[in-house]
Amino acid sequence: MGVFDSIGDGFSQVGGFFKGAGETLWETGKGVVDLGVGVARTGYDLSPAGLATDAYEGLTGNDAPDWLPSAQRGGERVEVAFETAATIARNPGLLVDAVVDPIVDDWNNGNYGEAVGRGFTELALVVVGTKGVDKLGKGGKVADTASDVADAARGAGRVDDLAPLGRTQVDEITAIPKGSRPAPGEYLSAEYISNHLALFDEGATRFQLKSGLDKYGPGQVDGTSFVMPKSQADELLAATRGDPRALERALGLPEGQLDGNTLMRVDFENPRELELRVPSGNEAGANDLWIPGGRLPDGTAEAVIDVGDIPPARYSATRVDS
Amino acid sequence: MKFTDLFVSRELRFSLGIEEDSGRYYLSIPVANRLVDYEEYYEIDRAALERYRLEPEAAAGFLERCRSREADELLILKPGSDRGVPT
Repeated sequence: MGVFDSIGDGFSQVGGFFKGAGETLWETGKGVVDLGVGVARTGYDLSPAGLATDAYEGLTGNDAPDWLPSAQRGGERVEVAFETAATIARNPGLLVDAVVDPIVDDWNNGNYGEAVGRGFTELALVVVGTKGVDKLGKGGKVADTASDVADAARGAGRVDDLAPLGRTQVDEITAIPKGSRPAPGEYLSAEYISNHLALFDEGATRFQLKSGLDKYGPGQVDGTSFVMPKSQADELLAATRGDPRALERALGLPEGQLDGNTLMRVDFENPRELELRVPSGNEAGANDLWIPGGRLPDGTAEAVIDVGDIPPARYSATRVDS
Repeated sequence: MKFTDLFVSRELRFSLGIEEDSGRYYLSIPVANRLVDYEEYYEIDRAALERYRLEPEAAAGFLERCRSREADELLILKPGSDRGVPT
């Protein structure tokens, strides 16, 4: 590199510093404004006028104009906010990602000036003063992520304690048809697999409706069963507090599924005795939301055990009160 | 809703029954996502229920349509956010 090239590159990086700083300030301001608008709209929708508008629609069958308040719309917005908060609580790394990722991307792409500009500005915002409000604005990025399962899966893949797989690798593996996917040992380190399976040393849990458990047993048609660590099942039940609608949302069930149905938790005390392993995605229960690495899109750990033909003495089935 | 089974085929993995509140008949199949095993309920008429109960193999075609999601218009409960796959 010649002298003039160096000077030119230096000017470019200085310009990048101001570009990165400017973009960070813009995103922060926009996030805060979006947040404020969202709060104001939710208050407007949940006002008595919103209830009146919904009642008018229900009674007449006519659609009210979009600019009128709607209690139903306000309720849906609160529900999304709840789910976003739950996602952040389970994966605080997502919020870190929203701040750190743009800096890392710029650095890796050689845009050192922009990376330093972003980092400097984030630090300045912490020190001088939006008192965390800007971080709520960043939360909007997480909400965008959490509202889309595919994006949540990508977010989960970036968090440090999750599978050390890049986005491309995840996409390549999930694109392989079920039945032909490679064994996890081909793309995960032995250390990662060992640490992951250790999460199940205190026990593994599966949820199942009693009617299905009575008829078909705890396994699926291929004799396998997906399980989560017992501690995470405990957390899920504590968070939903026996509310059937909250349980349905947490488990991805149809609304109303738990009305007249009994939910059971099936606990396996020693899952390693049942061939505990990281799922390959070839199991009968692997649906189109499966991602490699032993994690659900929301970050919950999962594994697979063999339960075909095991006697009831090998597991305990307990009613979940709701 | 209260689903009451009237017939179960463990071999072919389906059930027949009645939803008590509405009086609708159903054929159900076990499905699972990575968190929970549950059932999907497809509405059928009384004649189909009697036919499948007497001759379970006659349900094979309808079962295939349900499992490949080609009979979703008959679902009594619409799928949730993480729809299970037939197991």
